[in-house]
Formats: sequence, structure tokens, C-alpha cells
Amino acid sequence: MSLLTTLQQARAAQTQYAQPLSRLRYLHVADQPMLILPLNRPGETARPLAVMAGSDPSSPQLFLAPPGDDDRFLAVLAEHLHAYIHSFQHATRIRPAKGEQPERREYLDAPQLVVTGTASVYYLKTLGRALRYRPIPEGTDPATSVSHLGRWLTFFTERAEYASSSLLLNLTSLLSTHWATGQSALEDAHLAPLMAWIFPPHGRTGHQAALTVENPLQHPPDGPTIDPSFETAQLTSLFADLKSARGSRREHHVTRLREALESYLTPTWNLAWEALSTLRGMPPIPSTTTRWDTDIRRFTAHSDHLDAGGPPQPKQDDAVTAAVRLAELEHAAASLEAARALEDTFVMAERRTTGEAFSGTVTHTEPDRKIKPQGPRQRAKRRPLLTVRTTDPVRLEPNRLLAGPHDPAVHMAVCDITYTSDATEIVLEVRTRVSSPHSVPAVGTTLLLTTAPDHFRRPQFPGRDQIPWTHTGPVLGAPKEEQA
Amino acid sequence: MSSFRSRLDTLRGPIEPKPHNARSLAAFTANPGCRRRALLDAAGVDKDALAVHLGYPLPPTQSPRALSRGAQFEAQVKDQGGAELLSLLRNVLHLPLAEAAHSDLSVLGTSDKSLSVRHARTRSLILEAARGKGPSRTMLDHPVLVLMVSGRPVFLEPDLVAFQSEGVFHVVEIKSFAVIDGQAPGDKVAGAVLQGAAYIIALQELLASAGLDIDRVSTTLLLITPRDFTRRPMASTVDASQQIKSLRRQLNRLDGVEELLDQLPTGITFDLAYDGDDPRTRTATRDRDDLTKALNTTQARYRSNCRHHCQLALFCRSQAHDGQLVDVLGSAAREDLGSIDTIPAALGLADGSLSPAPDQEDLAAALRYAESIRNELFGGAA
Repeated sequence: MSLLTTLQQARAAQTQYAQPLSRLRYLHVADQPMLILPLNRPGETARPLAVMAGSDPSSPQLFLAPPGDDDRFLAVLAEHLHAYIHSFQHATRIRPAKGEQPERREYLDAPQLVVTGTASVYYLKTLGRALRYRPIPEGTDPATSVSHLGRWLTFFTERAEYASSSLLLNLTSLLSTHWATGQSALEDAHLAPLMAWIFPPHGRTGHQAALTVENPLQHPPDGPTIDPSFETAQLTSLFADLKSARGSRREHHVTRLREALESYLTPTWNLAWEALSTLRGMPPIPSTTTRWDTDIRRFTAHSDHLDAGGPPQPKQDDAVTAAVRLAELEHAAASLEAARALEDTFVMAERRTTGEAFSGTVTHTEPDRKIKPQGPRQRAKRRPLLTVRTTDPVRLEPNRLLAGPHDPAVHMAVCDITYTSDATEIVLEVRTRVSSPHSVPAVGTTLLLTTAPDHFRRPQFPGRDQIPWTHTGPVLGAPKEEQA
Repeated sequence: MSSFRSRLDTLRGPIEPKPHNARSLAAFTANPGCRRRALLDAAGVDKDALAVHLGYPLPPTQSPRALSRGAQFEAQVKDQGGAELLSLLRNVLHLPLAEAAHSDLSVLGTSDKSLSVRHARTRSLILEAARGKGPSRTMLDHPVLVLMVSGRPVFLEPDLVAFQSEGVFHVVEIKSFAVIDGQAPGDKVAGAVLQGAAYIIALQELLASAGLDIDRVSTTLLLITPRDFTRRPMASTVDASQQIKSLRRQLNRLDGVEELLDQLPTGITFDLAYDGDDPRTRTATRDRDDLTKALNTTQARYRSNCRHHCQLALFCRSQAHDGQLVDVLGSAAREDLGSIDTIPAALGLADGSLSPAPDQEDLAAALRYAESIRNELFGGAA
């Protein structure tokens, strides 16, 4: 966390109203996302009791798994989610070949799932793991199977680990990037108190409103864990009634259970749509489209994989896949932050407080500097130099690529850093867009600079057959206990 | 010691001390710097009743159904003299034989009254086995161990103590959270290992008290959990030595409660002044403000995760809020603000209206810089 965010938190606590952080969103918010509110059956692992889902705020669908009736529930839920996902698998476009990339067919748009928080993401991940190895019954369409539901849930939750992906939105974590509250991250992880801080009812402070919604019996918290007070007050007796009833009596009790869970989930349902429309109303930064395009490409690839009858995701990644994935996650997070800094003044300001960005004045330029030819057939290259003086506390090292919001395409490498008693002098060499008028600003110009997204190169891994056996990890066998 | 005990009795008032269990002992390692809780726990004060009376009840966090499912799983694992368990243990511990003498101590009664009887029996069975006089392989079911906590015996009931022929005792924890593809939620595993550490320490103490080597107790905990999404049990081994060290440290610190007592004004009590003896019908009559004053003579250290292990969390949170402590903002902000305790101080140092103490110079400079950037962004008036 940056000191800037911490200060905003402190101010929120002092004023008792949430304080703004970034005012621009960096993730795509679809016109018709699918909101999913899972509730787990108490004392079980990844066994939903109910799921409220749908992409129309005015008509939530409640999928209920009354004790003793799981499989039908899963089939119906699968059908519903598949219908939503498949609706994106019609309209396609052709991406022309580019560089090494051959021509590709892609879907025009992708589905987007929405959950209230990190606990629900984890829940859907576990549920996906529980379902994806289920056999697909003979003579049924795999595309609507429970197994494919598991694979889709796994796909969405695995993508959610990428900071740059919008395929599965996590509402509380997104809202927290735009507002600082006067409560802790632990309390911010629940939708009701977080929304209470951001949008308190008239005449109350954020702090007062958040305290009010902490009463679980009056304001059921978001799932996936069912609040024990609700369980004691209603579920226990409903379960007992269901256990002993048959026929129409059972139907009657199932209806009672449905009503109880509907009233439990409806406040969260409404709040989640409110949060979504708030986020949708925020202007997106320009690079958001590019990131959503990546998501669409991933969605297309996974659709093709399923259509081709590909296997479900493995239980555990092998060493190579895990290494690649970790590198990709880090790369996605770093380049996202760099892109945000160039497009969002708040993120740039945050980076200034952490020493990853600075504001400075151009004190000297050499616009016509050329460097010697690098080889026999090369010509001399133009590589302008400029010196920037800043009083910001900077943490930079030579060769780091910098860019600024004035023209993000101009990249400059740090050549030399000189610290004086009251300022820092940084000599930069322009590396890209050398002929652009922006590439060498005039002496006296104020520049805002931070690490360029291109500084973070996607790591190149050798092909599988190139990796010596010493680095391919053990053959996955007996699982070892995870140490906490 | 007796005066120490009587001072703790005064703190608690004339009711039975709240019994500890492995879970509450394990909680000692969470937020050990909170003196308020150290005193309350040492005196065996009912923190739940205290919170309710003060108007800050902590909503229940335990699902009744999850508890009963957990008990069912344990019963299933131990069914038929622990046959299933034995085969699991054989694989993990490489027990050579298919048999072990299974002694179920719950036959001696399961009420709190029978605890000391069962403890005596547990003790003699374990010592017999340790000295090689009993059956060579023993599985003790529902044993009762004892730990001395601030001068009081705390009875603990591990799920099981397994005894291996090589003369090493193992503690077995049966938990109902699933281990999926060899992975389990970190917080659940950590909780289980901490509880196991309490049992292991109690077992070490038992052997030590009889002059036996504590190395005869394995510091590796055996964890029995459902495998994947089934109800089938599986065994994992978890090294608990770190948790044993840290729990021992906390237990020793509890003996430092005497120092904390010395700092309290004389005659302080947290007695709720019940108007009767029957727990179901009695009401607390203690004046709330008076009780709050008494609590304020102890130093609390509120943390946002207190609610996971202390029933008084919401009361302390409200106090931290009233005192405008940085603690209400959570751990990230607290780390950022270092030695600055209050929100007004942080904001004052940031806008320059307060001058920093010598050790806060750097932080104050960083805050002033962040504040100047904040003003550039949002304008000065917030």
C-alpha cells in the first residue's frame, strides 16, 4: 500500500466518509455480466446449498440444492451458465496475421462473471475443481455437462489470478481500488460495510452506516459462507423438516427453504448491482480495451479447447507450467501497474510516493546526438539525450526504461544518476520514437516519468524438449501437506 | 502463589473460571502483546459474557452444522476400535503390525467431573507404555492431558494419542476440513497445528514430570482429514516444532501475568455481579460504566483480526475508534505509519501542523511529501 492510500484512509477515518483513490477504472465492465452469489452448505466442502445468478438485475434466479437433491441442481445451474457462455460463441471476427502471429478467428466479445469478493472467487475455484473431472454421461452433449461447468469455473477463476483480467470481477477488491475507508481490509472484504462507507444513507456517516450493517440477522453478509446466526435461526429447523418429509410435505418445505434463502441473498444481490453500475459509470483508461481483447482471446482459446474435446485442467501444474504461469502473473501485474500509471493521475501520484515515478524539469538536451554504428552495415542511430532534475525521492537504476503520460510511446533509458544535496539529476537516452516532436521536450519543460510498461518483458521460456530433466520437477505423486 | 491466585479470583469475581481448551490456548499466540486479554484469560474471565454485558456481542462465527459434521467425521474415523485410523497410521508411521491395543478413556465418563479421573488414567496408561510395561502398541482414545496455565490446571482432550512401538508418542488431530489435491486452506491448517502443539506440549510435560525424556513425543503432528471431496479420511504429517516453540513462549509469558497484576490499581475487578447462581436465569448487574473503567486500567492492543480469536474484539474496536488509533485501519496502514499511534497525529505530521519527534523525522518527511502530492491531486480541501 502506498502512503498516499494510507493518508486517504486516515482522512476517511477522521471525516467518517470514504475518500477517493483512483477515479478511473482499468477493468472492463460488460453490459450484461453474470452475477453469481454462491452459498455453501454449512460443514461441507464446495457443496452449494444455493446459488443466486443472472444477468438481469430485476430477475435473479435462485438455484437451490435442497438436501438430497444435488445432481439436478448442478444440471440446472450448468444449463443456465452454459446458455450465457454459449451466447458469446456466435459472433466472430478475423484477426489478420501480424508478425509471427498467423491469421486468427476470434469471438467478438466474451462472457463476464461477477462475484462479491475473494472468498467467492476461491469458492468457485474449489467448486470447479470438484466438478471438472465428473464423467460426461453417454449420449449427452458435453457442452452442457456438469463437467464442462467445472472446467469453465476453473478457467474463469484461473484467469482471475491475473490482475489484468476482467473475465471474473471481484467487486470488493475493485471498489477498494477506488475508495479508501476508515476500516480495515478485513472489513472492506465484505460488500455491505464497504458499500455503506462509500454510499451511506442520507444523514449518516460512512462509519455509522457500516456499523449498522454489521448485524448479520438484519443484514445478511455476502457468501459463500452462510452466517451462523441465520443457520441457527432458520436453516437448522428447515433442514430437520426436510429430512422427515416426503411428497407434497417435502415440496412445501423446499418452498420455505427457497424463500428463506431468497430473502437472505436478495439484499446482497441488489447491492452488488449497485456496485457494478457504480464501477461501470467510471471512465475506463484507454488500455482497458487492449486488456479485454486479451481476455476475449483467452476465452476463444478455451472454447476451442473444449470444442476439440480437450482434457480438463490438471490437478496440479507440472514444474514448467507453474514456472511459466508465475512469470506470466508477475508480468501481467507489473505491466498493468505501469500502464495504469501512464493513464491515471492517481496511480502516477501513488508511484511518486513510492519512488517509482518522479516529476522533474528538463535542464539540458542533446536532440541531435548520434551513436556509432553497431555493425558493418548499420548506420549511425539518433539517440537524443536529456537531463532531468527532480526533488522527488527517486529509486531508479541505470537501464530502466521510463515513459511519461505526455507521450507513452516515447521510451527513455536511464543512463546516469547524480545525487546532489537537494535534488537528483538523471540523464536519459531516448530509445523510441526519436523523430517524434515529443521525444525531446524543450529545456524548462516539466516531465512526469515512470517505468515504461515495455520495461517488463514477458519472460521467454525454452521449449519443453529443451529443458533438462533437472528442471522439470518431480513426477507428481503423493501429495504433501501444504504448510501454512 | 496463593496470593497470586486470590488476586486473579478477585479479578474474575465469585464465579467458576472459564475453562481453557486447546483452541483458546492456541489463541494465545495470536496478538500476544495484548495485556488486557492476557489478564482476562489468566483469570478465566468469561469474555463472551463481558462483551454481551457491555453491549458489544460478537456475532457467532461457528456453524452448528459444521461442528456436528466434524464430530461425525471423527466418529467415523474411530469406528470399530479405530480400524480405519490404524491403517492410515500404519501407512504414515510405518507401524509394523496390524494390531494395537485400543483404549477408550471415555468409558470413564465424559462429564467435566470425570476429567481428573480420566487424566489420572491417561497418565498411568502413558507412563506404563513409556516404561514398556503395557501393551507394546497403544491407541489412546479420548485421553485427557493437563497443562498448567497461570497456576491452574487446564484439561485438554486431544482427538487421540497414538503410540508407536519404537517408543515415540504421536498426537493425532482429526479435522473435518478437506485436503484437496494435497492442499488445504492455510488458516485451517495453521489452526489445527497450533491446537496440536498444545497437546504435544501437554504430553511432553507429562513425560517430563515422570523424569522421562521429552524427545519421546514426536513434534510432527498427524492430521486426519477428508480426502478431496469425499468423506474418506487421509493422513498427512505436519511439522509442528515452530508452533510448539511459539506456544511455549506464550505460556511462559502467562506466568508473567503477575507483573501485569502489579500494575493494576488494587481492588480492580471484572465481576459482572450476577444476581443468582443459575447460569440460565441470572442477570449481570454490574454498572457498565464502572466495568468499562475497570477494563480501561488494562492496556488493550486492538488488531483488525482480533475478532477471529477474542470475544471482546468489537468492544476494543470501538475504544480504538474513539481513541482515533491507527489500529482501526488495519495492518497495512499500521505498518506504513510505524511509530505513529493516532490518526490525528498522522494527519498532523502530514500537513505540517505537528512537528515530529526525533525518531519520526524520515516518516514525517515522507508523509509531508505524500500530502503535497495528495493536494496536487485532490486539492487541499478534503
